[in-house]
Parts: sequence; structure tokens; C-alpha cells
Amino acid sequence: MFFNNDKKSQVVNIKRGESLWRNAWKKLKRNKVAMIGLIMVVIFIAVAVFAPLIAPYDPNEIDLFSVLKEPSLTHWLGTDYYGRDLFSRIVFGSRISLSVGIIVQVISLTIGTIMGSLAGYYGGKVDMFIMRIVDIVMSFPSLLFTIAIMVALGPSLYNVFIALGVVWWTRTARIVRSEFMRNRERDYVDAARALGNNDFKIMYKHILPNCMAPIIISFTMGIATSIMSEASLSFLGLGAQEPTPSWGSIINNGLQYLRVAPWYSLFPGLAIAYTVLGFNLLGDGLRDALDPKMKEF
Amino acid sequence: MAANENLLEIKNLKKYFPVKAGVFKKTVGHVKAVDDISFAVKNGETLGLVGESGCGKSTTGRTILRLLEATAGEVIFDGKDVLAMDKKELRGIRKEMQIIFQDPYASLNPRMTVADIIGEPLDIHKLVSNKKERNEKVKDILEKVGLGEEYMNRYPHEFSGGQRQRIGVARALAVDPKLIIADEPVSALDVSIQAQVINLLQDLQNEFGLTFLFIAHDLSVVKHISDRVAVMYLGKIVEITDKEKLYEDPLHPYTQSLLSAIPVADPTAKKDRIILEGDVPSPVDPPSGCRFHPRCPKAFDKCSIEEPVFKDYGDGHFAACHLLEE
Repeated sequence: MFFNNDKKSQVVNIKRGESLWRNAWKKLKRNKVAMIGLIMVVIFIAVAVFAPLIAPYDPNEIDLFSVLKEPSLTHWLGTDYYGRDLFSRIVFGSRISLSVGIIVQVISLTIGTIMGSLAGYYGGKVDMFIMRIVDIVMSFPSLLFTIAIMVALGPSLYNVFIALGVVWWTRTARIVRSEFMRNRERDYVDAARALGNNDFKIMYKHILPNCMAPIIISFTMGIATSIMSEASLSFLGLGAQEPTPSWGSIINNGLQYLRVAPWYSLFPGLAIAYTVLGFNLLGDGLRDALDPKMKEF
Repeated sequence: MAANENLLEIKNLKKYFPVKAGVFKKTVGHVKAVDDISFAVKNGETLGLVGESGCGKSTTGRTILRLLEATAGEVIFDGKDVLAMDKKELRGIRKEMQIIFQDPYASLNPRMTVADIIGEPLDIHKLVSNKKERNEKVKDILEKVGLGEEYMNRYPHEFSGGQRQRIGVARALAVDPKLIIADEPVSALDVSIQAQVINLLQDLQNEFGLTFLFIAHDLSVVKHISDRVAVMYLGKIVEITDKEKLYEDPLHPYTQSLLSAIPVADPTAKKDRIILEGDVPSPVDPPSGCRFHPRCPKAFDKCSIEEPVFKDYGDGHFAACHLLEE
């Protein structure tokens, strides 16, 4: 085919360019620690998605004849004080953690990106107004503030989403704002305006894609933190309620039996540690792969 | 088309940036980046705008395009005042005036392919009706700036500085504008590439009958490309005339000193270089009278008291200097 003399059949080979995303992915693939993190995260997500297939028992099935059993072949991680299989409860608990992590981050990302982009792009009074709200929210210790909201709303898993979202959007807003401020001064934004783009298009078609790197990093890291926060709230009895199997509440229940059944609290604790570690390793790798300071555009 | 008709007329244009200080961001002064300038660009010509860095050249260009909002004045483009336009009218006029930026690394969106960068203005102004037509048009434009269609799906970071600047030119050209403001389009490029890009701009000017406002600080580049030249100092235009007249018979002492600084490729040539003393004063608090008087070798009493009038000294040779009035 390389020696084809017929000119008409020659097709100009239009090479696909290499986008910066693909570049970043290549970089991420070379980073072993990040790939371990990614595998850990993928396993976690797979467990959450396929929980009914993995768990050997119904997580809420009460068996009063086998209460507080040690880990064994029938109950891999033992049982709790109602005789429920802990392994199954932890497997199903991953669903709670995953949904909290993602939903809270999506809420905070949406609010944070809108607020942050408006503040960063328009500056002046808009910026002043939005950033003072952010300052007020951030001036409270975040766990204390979430607890206050949870107390006001009442303990339930849905309220955890709201409470954590309300606290977390401020961080995203700060990141997005600073990225917008940095980018809006660049020439390509002026070029976009000179071509007749309106503000909305300039903000979300031109500037936002250039701010994605820190947003993705904060999203990944934020999932880990949200999972931790949900576990803390559930541990305090403010999050998911019985019989919903949340890692935090399992730890709390196990606390009373720490002397006789240490595995009861240990295993959900390990599950939290594993998940948070996975997301953090991945997040660190993403930072290395996406950080604009390491690769000049 | 009347060749001498003014495509662009700037009347008493001012752009002040407020200087804010203190806890309450009180305005304590203004940077007078562009202070009451007037000039015109004729249809089909290239007007060079030269001056030191920080004299307000780029601000002038951006204010004309309303990338910056002017403090006062008029910008008449094709008979209409651009500064008085509402959003909708402005959008329409954007098709007629385009800009080429100095830094080809900052002026292209790193997340967009070349086809999207050049195709976007076509979409905005509805110059193409479908994707195929858009692709064809992008291909055409790329060819005109000397790039092949194989580059269409590449990203800006895969190109060299000179190629990027060609993409920048292609983007400006896509909407088929009448006026292009070139804001130091070659000063970030290697000398060998500079020549290529300048020749490209000249070829395109001939082909499409473009009008250029060519902003630069390099006098030899301006000499090559311009028909007329305007010299700016500290937010004011001090002299404006035909290229030949400016380079042979500069009237203003500032222009004279600028021209004396152009290197000559002859080691035996004897030159009387006029070396200016001191720095450019701050545009926040410009000198009284003629702004150039603290550095002017020929300054006299009147210069620090009264501002010289910018007027015609014959054949469209405008200058602002008290010496000329004597």
C-alpha cells in the first residue's frame, strides 16, 4: 500500500494529536504507587457494585445462635451481637461509603464550581460576596459544623450528604476561584472574547477545561475525606441508622465488645483505612501527572 | 473602495486603571495607560504603533477591541462607534476586527485542537452550516497560513512557536475580518521565524485587502511592514506620519532618539546616538507640560509648563512638540 501510484486512492493520514489528558494518563501509568492506588480503588468500587454477589449472607440476617462468633470458615470475619455476618456487612457497607464519597463530592463540586467560577471570573463585588460566605463556613471546624447541621436536620444518611456537601463546596470553590483568576488573565481568554464568545462560553468552554486538573485531584482526595467524615458521623450515631451497615456504625457497635471481640471493630476500621489509602495514593499520583507546574503547557 | 477612507478612527481615547490601596480599596490614583490619543487607520494600510514597553501600545489595541473598557473617547470603526455598542452589536463587529497576540504560548487554548481553535469563530458567527463545511474551511485557512491539513487534530503544545503563531493568525483570519490588530506578533519569536511570519502577514494583507494596526517595539520590523508609523510615549502619541518621512525626518526629539538607537550593520558608520537619561516616568503621576520634558535633550522652560498641541506640520505629519511651534 505504500507504493500505490494511483493518486486518488491516497488518503492523507491525519494524525490524531495527543491531548494533555492522554499525556497525563501515560504519566499516571508509569507511576507504580498511583497504579496500586487505582487498583485499590477499582477493587473497592467493584465490591460495592457487586456486593450481593460477593457477600455470603444477607447483611441484615439475624442469627441469635451465633452471636459474636470469632472469624471462622463459616463467618470469615466473625459475627456481631445480633449474629449478623460481619464480612457481608462490611461488603454492603462499601456501598454506603462509595455513595457518600461520590454524592458528597458531586454536590460540592457542582456548587463549588459554580460559585468559584463566578467569583474568579467576575471578581470585585461578586467575588467579595461569595468568598465571605466561604470564609464563614470555613471558619468553623468542619466536623463540628457538620455535626451542628446533622443535629438540626436529624440523623439520617441523606442528611449526611447535605451536611457534608454544605461544608465541602467551600474547598472546591476556593480551588476553582484561584484557577479562574489565574486563567482569565491569559491571552487565550482575550482571544475567545475577541471572537465573540459570551461570558458563559468563555467560563465553561474555555477556562473550565484548563482548571480540571486541580478539580480532579480535589475530587479524588475529597472522596477519601468524605468517607472518613461519614464514618465519623455514623460512629457518633448521627449518620446511617440501624440496620444500615455503615462502617462507622459497625465500629461504634463493636466498641462495647472490644475486650471479647476485638475483630468486630478492627475489620471495618481496616476497610476504612484501605479505602482512604487507595484514594489518597491515586490522588497523589494524579497530582503528579496533572500538575501544570511539573509540565509546562 | 476609496483607498484613503479611514477604516478606524480613534478620537480622544483614554484608558485609566484605578490604583487601589488600603483595607477598603480606596482609589488613590490612576495609571494613565492611554491618555487622550487620536489617530486614524486608513483602509488597506498598515499603521505601525511603536513605543517603549509600558507606554500603552497594547492597552490601546485592547481598548479598541473592547477587551478593556475605555475610560473615555470614541473608536469609530467603519462609521460606527464601537465603544457605544451594546452586546449584540459588539458581537457582530467582532467579525470585522480581530487580534493577533504577542505570546503564541498563551494565546491558544491548550485543551482545544487546532481544528476547534480555528473552527470556533466560524461556529460563533454562523459562517458554516455543517461539520463537513467547517472542516473544509478550516483546511483552507490552514493552507493559507502555510500549515497542512495533517495538523488539524493536533493540540497547541505539539507545535513550535512559529507554527503556533501561524495558528493564531489563522484564527484571526477565519472570520474574514477587515481590521487585524497585531499586538507585537513577532517579538516572542526567533529572528528567522520573525521574517517568515511578517512575510506571511504581508502576503495575507495583499490577498485579502486587510488593514493592520501593527503594534511593536522593534523599529526595524515596523519599518519593514508599515505604511505609516505612530510613536507613543507614556500614554500619548507624540508623532505620526508616513514611514519614509518618519525615518528620514523625525520631528519629535523622542522619535529622533529612538531612531538613533537602531543598530546599523556597518562597523565603520559613525553615529550620533542620542542617549536618553533617566527612566520612563510613572504613568500614575506623569510629568507636567510635555510628558517627555524631563528626559528631552532639547527641553526648555515652556515644556514643563504647557502641554504641546498635537498638530499637523504639513502633509499629514503630526507631532506634539513646542520646538516645532517656534
